[in-house]
Amino acid sequence: MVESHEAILEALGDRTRRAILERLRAGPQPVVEIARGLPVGRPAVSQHLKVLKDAGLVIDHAAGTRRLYQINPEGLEGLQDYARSFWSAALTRYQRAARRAAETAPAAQTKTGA
Amino acid sequence: MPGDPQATKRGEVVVRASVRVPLPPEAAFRLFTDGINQCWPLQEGYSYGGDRAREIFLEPVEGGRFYERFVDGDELQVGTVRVCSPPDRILFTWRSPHWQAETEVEVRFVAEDLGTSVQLEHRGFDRLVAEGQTIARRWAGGWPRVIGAFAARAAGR
Repeated sequence: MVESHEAILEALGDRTRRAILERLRAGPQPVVEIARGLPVGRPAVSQHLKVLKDAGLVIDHAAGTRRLYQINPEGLEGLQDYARSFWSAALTRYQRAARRAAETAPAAQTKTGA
Repeated sequence: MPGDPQATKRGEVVVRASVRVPLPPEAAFRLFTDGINQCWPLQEGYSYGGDRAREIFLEPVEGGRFYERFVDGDELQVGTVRVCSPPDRILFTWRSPHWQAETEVEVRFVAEDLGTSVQLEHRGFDRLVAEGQTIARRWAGGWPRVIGAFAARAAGR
């Protein structure tokens, strides 16, 4: 599921949430593990995890009696959309320029022996 | 294939795109580097300078600068060339105004019978999470405008 850009940006705009994401890069972890070493308590970490989950950046699942949180590999799709739009526009322009160049210099158009 | 993004490993995301052009790799490479100003949608939000940005340059040499030049002559470096092996490949970093951490762009130029296949990979989005700067507010404002501009352009084609 692709969440809105705004939700992703909002989620990434907080220092503690970025620290949480950084920790999760090591792999799935329970809240208690994530909270260890962070300057905020477990309830606050849980709250931040909820925001990250709502933004689609983090997913969780039950493992026995614990709940494990992990980075959602699809969570950055909103950012990818941006990059895709960009390259689509840039490469279309590039291709147009290449066609113009090929027309003005037809000798260079193809490899010999093609 | 106009590439779909793929998650290569946990949190790492790659955007791929490619086009075929009717030029030999040497000319295709030169057009991408020396001619980048003809292809970059500079005035549509993809620049730090915005309306002030007039040109963009990509120096085809290792350590070369990727930079914008503004109407008043000021220059701003937005990336650095890491690998430059004409006519096959160029790899450079890029900070867009929308993310301050550096992402990485690699372009390969593969000879084909009728020209060149230009294959682009844009990666390092996971660094945005790792090093993400406090620019969310700015993104939130600029993004819809940028996307809108492209949607309009795509519809007009």
